This record gives sequence, C-alpha cells and structure tokens, in this order.
Amino acid sequence: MFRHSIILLIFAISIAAVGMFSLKHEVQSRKAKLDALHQDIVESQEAIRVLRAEWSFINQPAHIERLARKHLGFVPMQSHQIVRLEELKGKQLEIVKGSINERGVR
Amino acid sequence: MKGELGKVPERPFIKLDGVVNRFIEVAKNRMLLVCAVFSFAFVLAGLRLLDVSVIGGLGEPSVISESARATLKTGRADILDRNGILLATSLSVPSLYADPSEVLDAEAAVDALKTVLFNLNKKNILAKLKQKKRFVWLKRGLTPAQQLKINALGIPGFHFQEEDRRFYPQGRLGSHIIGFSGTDAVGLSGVEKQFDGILRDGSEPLSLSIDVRIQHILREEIQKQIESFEAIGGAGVLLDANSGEILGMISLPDFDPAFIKGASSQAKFNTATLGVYEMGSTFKIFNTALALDLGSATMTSGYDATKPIRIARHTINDYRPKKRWLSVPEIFMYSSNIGSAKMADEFGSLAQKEFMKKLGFFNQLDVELPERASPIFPARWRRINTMTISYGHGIAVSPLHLASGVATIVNGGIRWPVTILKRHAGQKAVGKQVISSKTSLDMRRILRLVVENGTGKKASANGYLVGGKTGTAEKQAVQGGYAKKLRLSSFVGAFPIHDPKYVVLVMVDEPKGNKDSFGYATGGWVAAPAVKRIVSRSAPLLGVHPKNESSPKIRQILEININPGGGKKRLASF
Repeated sequence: MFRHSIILLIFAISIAAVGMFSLKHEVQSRKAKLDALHQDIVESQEAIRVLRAEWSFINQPAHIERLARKHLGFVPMQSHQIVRLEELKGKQLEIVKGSINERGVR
Repeated sequence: MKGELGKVPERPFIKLDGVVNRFIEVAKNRMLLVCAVFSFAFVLAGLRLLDVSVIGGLGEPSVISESARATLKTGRADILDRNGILLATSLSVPSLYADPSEVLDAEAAVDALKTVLFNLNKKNILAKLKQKKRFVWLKRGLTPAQQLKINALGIPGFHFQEEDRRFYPQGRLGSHIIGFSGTDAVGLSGVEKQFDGILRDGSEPLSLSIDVRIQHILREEIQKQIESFEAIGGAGVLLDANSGEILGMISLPDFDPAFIKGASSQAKFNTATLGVYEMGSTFKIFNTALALDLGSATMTSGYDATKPIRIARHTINDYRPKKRWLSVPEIFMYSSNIGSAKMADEFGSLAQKEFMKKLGFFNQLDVELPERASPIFPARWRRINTMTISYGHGIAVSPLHLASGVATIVNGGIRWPVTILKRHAGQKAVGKQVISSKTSLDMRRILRLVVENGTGKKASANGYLVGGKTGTAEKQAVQGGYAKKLRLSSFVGAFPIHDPKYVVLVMVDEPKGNKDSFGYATGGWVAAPAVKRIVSRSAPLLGVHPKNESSPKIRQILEININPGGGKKRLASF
C-alpha cells in the first residue's frame, strides 16, 4: 500500500514536472512572439506616422489645385453652379421634358 | 520481545523506553505534519498546474491587453487643422555623430563624407573631429537615402542615432500660426511655443480652428494682389462671426518652417496678430455703430460736410469731398472723414474711449499665440484725438483686433473671445453684449450699402451678399507725419450680410497703383477684389449657400433709406 502510494506520488511528480516545464516553455515562446508583435506594432505606427505626414504633404491645397487644373481642367466653382434641392422643386420636370422633346430619344 | 529483555531491570528500561518512545512519537508526528503540509502544497501546485494548462485558467482573461506598452512614444504631439489635416508631426530621423577617438584618418573620412553630403564645411568638421571628446554631432536630420550611403562608406567611428524631428507637411500654410520648434523639440513661436508643455507630454493631437483650404485661398488671393500692386506685404483673416474661431489667418511674406534659418525677420513676423496699424476708414464702422447705439445719431440724421474741419493746426478733409450735407448712411458710403469727425465730436471722448475699451482695442487679444500686439492709443484723449480716431487715425491696432471688432458689430453685438483652437460641439465661450442687436442690424444695412453703391463695389461676390468697408490709411513716415504715398489698403466685411456667418479682412501694405487700377491703390481697388475672390471660393467650402441677392426677403432685411443730405433741421454742433 505504502509502496504503491510512493510510486503514484513519483508518477504524479514527474507528470507535474513535465507539465511545468512545457508550460514554462510555452509561456516563453509566446512572450517572445508578443515582443516581436509589439516591435511590429511600433514599427507600423512609425510607418503610419511617416505616411500620414507624406499624405498631408501631397495633399497641400496648392498641389491639388495645380493637378486639378492640369489634368481635370477644373476651375473654382461659381455661385450660379450651386443649386439647392429645394430650388429644383417643380423646375426639374420641365427641364427633363424639354430635353426629351429636343432629342427625341433619351 | 519483552520476554527476551526480562533480565534487564524493568523500571529504568521502561523509563528509557518511554523517553525514546516519546521522542519517536514526536518525530513521527512532526514528520506526518510536514508530509501533510508538503503533500497539501504539492496537491495545490498540481491542481493549479492542471488549472492553468489543461482547464485553461478559470477566471483569467484569455486575451491580455497590452496596448499601453505598444504605443509609440514621440517627442511631441501632432497639431491638426479643424478637419484633421496634419499640420505638424514628429518623426524619428537618423542623425550622424562621430567618436573622434575611433576615427583613424579624419582627413580621408571628411573627404569621403563630402561625396554624400556635398555642402559640408570641411574645416568645421575637421575641427570637430580633432576635439578630445567622445561624441560630436556631424549632421543632424539625415534622409534615409543619405543614411544608407554614409553607412555604405563604412567610416570607422561614425555612428547614427535616431532623433525626433518636427515636420510641417503643409509648408507655408499657417506657418505663422503653427510656429516652429528648435532641433531639441522646444517650441519657439506660434502654437508650438504657446502650448509647448501640452504638446510635449501629450499624445493627444491638438486641433486648431484653422482650415488649410481657407489658408490656401487667403494666401493665394492676397499674394496675387501683392504682386500686381507691388506691395511689401499683406495680411488676411477669416473669422467665424458667431464663435470667434479663426478659420484662416495669413501674413505675407511668410516662411517655410523647414527652412527657418533662411527666413528673414520680416517673413517670420506675424502681421495679422503682432503688427499694429492705424487702420483708417474701416474704423468708421465703430464710429457709426457707437453713434447709432448711443442714439446721438440716427439713420436719418445728417451732418454738414461742406467745408474741411480746422482744429489745433490740423485740417480734416475728405478724400473725395461732396461739399454738402450728408446723411449717416452717406457719410459711411462715401467714407467722409468730416462727417465722421463731427459724429464723434457729438458723442465725445469719454463715450468713444469706453467703447474702444469694450471692443478690446486697449488690450492684447486673448488669442492663444505668443505673438500678440498691444494696441497704441493716445495717453491723453483730447478732442482732436476723438475726431481723428473716428476715421481710424491716432489709434493703432492689429488686423485681428479689427476683424474681431467687426465680428462684434455685425453678429448682433456680442463680443466673442477670438481663438485659434477648435471649439468642440457644445463648447460655447462666454460673449459680452457690446452694442444692441438693433444697432447691429442697422450696421449690416449700411455695410451692405458700401458694397452695393459705395467704395466697396469690387468686393461684391455674387450670391454671397458681402457687406463691408474699405480703408485706405496713410502710413506714418519714419520722420514723423504722414506719408502720402505709403498706404495701407484694406477691406473688412462679413458675409452673408443679412445673417453674418463669417468676417473677412484683407490688408495690403504699401500697394502702388497700376495701369489696371488707373493708378489707384485704395482699399476699394486693392483689397476689395481679393475679398470678392476669397468669398466666392471659400463660401462653398464653408457651407454658405448662394442666395438671390434681389429676392424680396433679403431686400426687406437689408432695406435702407439713404435719405440724401440727412435731416438738415437737426443741426449738428458745427
């Protein structure tokens, strides 16, 4: 009975030891992974900061304006080009009707 | 067992046996206790092991949040515009340093370095490398490409260190407001200086009230006027009339914060907040508002502007004399100095002084910038001062003072503190009522009159109902007195004037008349056209919808009776 319990105890201890070591190993490897991830995050954040600065730089209004004029032929908007939806009530139908009549087909 | 030991005298043996037995008992009991404690501990440890490894940690979070460790720590917080556009940020950049004791051949090292950094001062660097130090900076703030090339040179004793450096991606736009910081991340001007502490230990970005698009429009349009009128500088402000937020503020010439060392002191000077000027006729806005608010004049009263006023060896004259009686709206529309002076003389120095104080013209503005001007005003406020101040001479304020004052006049009479920080929803500043809302409405009507029929016609941006006042001030000459040729031409106004949302100010310093302006360099010719373009371009961005300017509803709000000549029956004081 006593011998049996000793064997059982030794068995339990070795199981516990193996368990403990594997757990420790697992924790260590996960920690290394976490540290690497942290490093990655910090690097990405740094990269995002650089990209945000660059984005702001290339979005300078003067630069956009130059590009819009050159490639899109855009000019500053005139006040008569802005119409509010409420102002179109009633008018819209006439315009559509007129355009159909003139062209015959849509 | 006992039988074999029979010969031995029993008593002492029993005694001995009893003692041993007792010891053995005690030892056994202790052993048992220790065993029990240990097994209990082992069982606990085993259970816990099972718990964390097999069952998976009851009550333990399965995901451990570690975000605090992972955030990037930068030297200074970012600065954003009102729409979140990045205005200033800190990035880490490599800097080159050397340990002179490790450098083998200084001469060769510098020659090699010069193949990458062309404009290096060889003498300077050699001297640094011959110092008996273990650390000398060679070049701070390298580009990644330069770092790569220098690294490829493989010079012993040369090392890199990552350093935080401030970048201003919007360049010149808002450089006077944002300011700049030195190599060691210390704010030296503008917002960078004002909020140095907050920026240094905060990771939350600082949101300003300015809008880079408005900055761009102001800068471009005023620059255009400066060039075509060969002016020496200019300033522009666009202010939210109902909150005091500065949406745009520029000062020209300006500087690029990336090349701060090359910038002249003139370029670094913020004209809009730090410069003080005698603003000229734009001050008639305040003069008329005060007279109407006090009731010393009404929209129908008139003043005699037939002859110049002679007082204390001075002559007050009109730029374009009408030589007749003028009504209050006419005085404003034709910008009559004589009429204004007479209006001021009627309500007197005390009332004028009090009013200027209420408008904040005696103090620095409360704007959050270190560059704030203190206005200049007469120490002794005599009658002649009252008369000249009525048309903007004898008191000098900053352009931002003027814009803030006009916002007070047109927005219903409430003075809001001007701010460079974005006011968040629900965050309302405390304003002070300076004039009545009735006076404010009258002022809006006569400001509109100036743009419809008076000196400010060129500021009329169709659909946006601009109202305002032109100003052409003669600058004080260095030798004293006024220089006829050196002028400060300005326009200050609001739009849409029937329900003012924004105040806009344009000022051009020392413009010279050109062919297109028939030689004129007045506020109406120089500043007003810029205001028209600024309003037309920025109103759609600001959500101001164009209106039909002649619609009956608007006509009714802005209805005004010019009443030529004014009520002659009511004689003015002279």
